Amino acid sequence: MLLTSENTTRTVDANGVLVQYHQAVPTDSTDAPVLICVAATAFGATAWGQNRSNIDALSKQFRTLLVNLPPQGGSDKKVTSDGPRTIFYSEVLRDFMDALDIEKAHFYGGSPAAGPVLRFATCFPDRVGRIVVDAPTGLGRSMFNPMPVEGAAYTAAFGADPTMERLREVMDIQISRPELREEAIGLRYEAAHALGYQEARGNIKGPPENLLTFIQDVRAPTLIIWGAADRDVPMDRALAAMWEMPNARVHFFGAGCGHWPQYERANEWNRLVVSFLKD
Amino acid sequence: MPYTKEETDRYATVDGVELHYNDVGSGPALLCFHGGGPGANAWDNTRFNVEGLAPHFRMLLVDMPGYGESDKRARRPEGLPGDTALAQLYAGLMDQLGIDQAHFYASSASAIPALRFALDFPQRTGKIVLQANNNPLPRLAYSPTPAEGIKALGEFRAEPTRERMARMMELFVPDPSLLTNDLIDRRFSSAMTPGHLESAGQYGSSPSHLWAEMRGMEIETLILWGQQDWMVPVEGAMLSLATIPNSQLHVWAGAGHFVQYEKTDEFNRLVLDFLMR
Amino acid sequence: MATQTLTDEATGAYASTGDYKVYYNEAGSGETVIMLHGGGPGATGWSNFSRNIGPFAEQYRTILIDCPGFGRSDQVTVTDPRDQVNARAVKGLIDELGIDKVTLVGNSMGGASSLAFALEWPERLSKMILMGPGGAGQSIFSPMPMEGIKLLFNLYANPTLEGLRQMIQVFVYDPSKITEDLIQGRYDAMMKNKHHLENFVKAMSATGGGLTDYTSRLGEIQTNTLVTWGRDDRFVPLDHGLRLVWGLPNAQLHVFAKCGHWAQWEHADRFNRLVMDFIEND
Repeated sequence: MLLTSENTTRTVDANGVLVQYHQAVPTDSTDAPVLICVAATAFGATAWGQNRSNIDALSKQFRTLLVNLPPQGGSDKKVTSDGPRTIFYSEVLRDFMDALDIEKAHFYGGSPAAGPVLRFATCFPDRVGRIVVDAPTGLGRSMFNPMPVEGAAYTAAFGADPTMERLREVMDIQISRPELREEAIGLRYEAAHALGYQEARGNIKGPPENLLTFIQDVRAPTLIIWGAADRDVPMDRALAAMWEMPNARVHFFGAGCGHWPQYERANEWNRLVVSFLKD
Repeated sequence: MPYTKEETDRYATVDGVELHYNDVGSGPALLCFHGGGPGANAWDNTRFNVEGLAPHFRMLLVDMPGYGESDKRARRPEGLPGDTALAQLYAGLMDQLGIDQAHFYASSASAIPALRFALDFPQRTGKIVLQANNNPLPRLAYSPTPAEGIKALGEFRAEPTRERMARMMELFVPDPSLLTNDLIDRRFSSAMTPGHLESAGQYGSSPSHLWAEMRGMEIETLILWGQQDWMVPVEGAMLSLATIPNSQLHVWAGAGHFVQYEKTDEFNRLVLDFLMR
Repeated sequence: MATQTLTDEATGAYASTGDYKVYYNEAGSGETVIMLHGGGPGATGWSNFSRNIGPFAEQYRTILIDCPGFGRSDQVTVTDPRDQVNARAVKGLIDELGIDKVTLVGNSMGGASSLAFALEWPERLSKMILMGPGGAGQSIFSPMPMEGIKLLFNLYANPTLEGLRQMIQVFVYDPSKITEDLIQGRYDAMMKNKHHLENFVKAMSATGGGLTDYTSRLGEIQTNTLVTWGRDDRFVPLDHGLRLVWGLPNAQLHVFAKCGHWAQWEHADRFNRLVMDFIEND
């Protein structure tokens, strides 16, 4: 059966917070390990938009859940938080797991969702198997790339004025291969203009956090994936992160890979992630 | 472990050079080359990976001239650069074994002749796996040259004692729990093979400019590194990623110069996935 | 510090380099310092070094060249890498003017040109100052082409005022310091010589979009060199600064914080003092 956004979508009440997610499971196994893929919390980013090229492959091995943290996608548009985002989201993820009776899971977090996933691993280490993150934000200042990086201005411009043209500029910077951009643009635009979304954008706001202040406490084996040509989040920070995380490894995709390795190099990414998680 | 060195030892003479190699497993050909340091040899370099990879590949673990059980007296043909001479030797060995095309796994200094082979015989090259290869630049920018591990290597060569070998190996493998006496003993004993220290590196070593030729090389390359490599610092990994067009890089925290041993399972799976897809 | 009131017109002249007729500005006397501008559309010696020629001319015979293919100099229709074209032009000019030895101050493309000159004619070179020079290949931490270079290439292909404004915003760390006059002046220079733009585009396609990579030959350059970089340079990557100071046997590196790709303008006083002290005392 072809997996679609519509035929995989579900919702659950996670301790009073509505979480919308997608689920796909291996056809032959009822107790496959769980993999929770947490979508980026960027403007208009959604779980389906982020991982639709991965869910097929991943769900052959894992009970795969693609999760929208509030207020993304169909998730809660009312809940608010002022404290550190990573802590708030860690609690949402724990409540999500409790609501679904999931004892332990592997985790994947895309870029701004990497912080919440890594924080979760320090707060609830017994609930985590292995971790994969893509191009984490919040790893501090680049030593080599002037900040704000090239992509930041376009992201800010789209945030202030979410037109198709501004979104196109964001995708031009983030996704290296032009032929891959159209579909991504469509889904992102639609989500950015979904009913009630923009009003809820400011609901979860917290102080800036530097992941380097807590990732030393991550015990779980961690794979950091990065495109060497990422113009949105500076890739030199991968090495900085690894000095703090003795149980980590980083995989750089060369050959012009940009900010979306899970999408730009989907087949290789899938194999890499499945192989790492299956140990 | 089903595969042993003795059962898989083989010998061939190529262009008058006597080569020893181990022929292990079945499947697409995967030529495996060791590094350039004293005591390096093909079986010791790759033996941890044989169990994981030999079910899928015909692995040929080749001792370069001057190393292991290969020819200690061979000199390369007059006027031929070292990397070219070795690449031709590899081609000759493949001819003898009836192998048209092979994947390459090259550790450390053997990256140079492997890349030369890919440049000179692109049709005969599948994919390339490089591990802690030597630097694409004569001097790195963020790490003093010579690296600490290279200095220790020089000190061993100056006075080849087990103590100095142990010191060098400490800089190979930073995790003390992985640096066993067995590992040190084997390497030391291999280093003391008669004729080895005098001849190691002679056949293949000469200045190479092949990094400048990388721009047009399209062969898919996987680069593997330990973040705590004190022989060839990880900056070289970033440089290799930037220099080789169709490449990707995997770096392990907490691992050093010997990732095929320090991270055997992950190494095997990565290499298997990369070569098979 | 007294500054002379020099003008472009009053200091300008033409000379033949052999291959090309070039325009140059000259002021002051003494040891010769030649300044080479960067490779952006509309760049000229005078506009690149307007804040430097005055102070330098008090101590040195200071020459700003419009490189062939730029400003008032002849067109370049060959597709050789421009760093090599420029180096040959410098050699031709100093032979023509009867100058034995020079110090080169090279910005960006001018820096790569200085490296080319140092490799070919080291005996004609006293010292070398390189500001964010091209010529050191690939960055290991910054995706290339860098943000500013993409804007530069686009501007060459589509020269508009808006495109120029965009590029100049990225060129300097603090765009609020850029005046409308400056932008307009640069725009006029760019549009006055559109053939330069077309020729440059052709040359870039032929060379694969860049300057020669001198990284593997840096060890051959014995010239006493000062390398400067803007910490916030979005045109040529900061990691090349250290690469150069490791690769060149006799070099120092100075990084200006809060500085983009135009150090000699953005931090003019500091730059002038630093460089003149280097020339004088190092």
